[in-house]
Amino acid sequence: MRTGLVKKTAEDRVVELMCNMLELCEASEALVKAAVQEKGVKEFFDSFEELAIEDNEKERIKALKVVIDTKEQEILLMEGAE
Amino acid sequence: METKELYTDSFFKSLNKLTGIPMSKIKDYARDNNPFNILDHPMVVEPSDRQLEKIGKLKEFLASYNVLKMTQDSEKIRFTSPKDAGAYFSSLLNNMKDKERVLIAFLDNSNSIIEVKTISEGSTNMSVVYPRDILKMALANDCSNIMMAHNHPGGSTRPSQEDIDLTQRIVNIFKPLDINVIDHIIVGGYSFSSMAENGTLPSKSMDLANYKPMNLTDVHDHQGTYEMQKDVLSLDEDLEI
Repeated sequence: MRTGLVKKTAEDRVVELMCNMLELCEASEALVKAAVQEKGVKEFFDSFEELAIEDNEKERIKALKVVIDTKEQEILLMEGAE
Repeated sequence: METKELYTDSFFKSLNKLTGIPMSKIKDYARDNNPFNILDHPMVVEPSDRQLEKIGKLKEFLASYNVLKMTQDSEKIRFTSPKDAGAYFSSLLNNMKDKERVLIAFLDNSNSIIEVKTISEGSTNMSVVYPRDILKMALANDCSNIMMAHNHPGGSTRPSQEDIDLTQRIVNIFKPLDINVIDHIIVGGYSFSSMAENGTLPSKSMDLANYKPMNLTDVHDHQGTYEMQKDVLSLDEDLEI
């Protein structure tokens, strides 16, 4: 299966949406994109605290991580109930 | 664990930080409802324009993140329901605000994606589809099933008569080859509809295959009620918009 391009497109889209939604400054956006490219999105959310970006930007990324984690737990719980 | 226990103060605070919706409103709504419903039905918290925009962005992000997870968790993306397919195509098409794009997923016999191709990209209300191109790609992929998807930049998820006609034409071409058209997903903004789910997906070949290019027009120009195609297209018939 040719997943490479699908994966790349999906990853680019996620990073683009995340930077736009979190209103990151240009410098932070570049750091986030580089980190995602290097580690992947899931790893990124586990290690974003290491990035040299503003604290308020980290707070917003952290908020997004909480929402993602809650959604994933909700799905797991619902799947378990089925 | 109860689902409600998942929605902690930290979660509400995060939702507030990302959308600007006051905590009190989110908590009030969450008392009797799933707080994620706010993303699908934002008016329940009476958002300002800015908050509405932020809710839309968060919803779009979560849909895209979900697709990315699907691609990372498994080497194969498999559609098991219209909901899966809708979430997948919605994340690929919901950013297309100024033009129409038609995608086809070529699937194996377990409905896992072999390949996804853009087969047409047009203006805000029209794109041209060349059925013979789809046929060539399907044969190259040796697929068992195909799934169609396109967006309506106008935002409606209702299939237009042209959408139904196009789907019928594709069914006509593929049925004799034992390749099933299993669904046609229509994405409008952050929502989607499935022709298989709403009963408008043609399942039988009704005519000789017709390989002429076909114009696909956005539904906002055609607001009539949809019904199954009754008339059969002839080989020489052009569909005028």
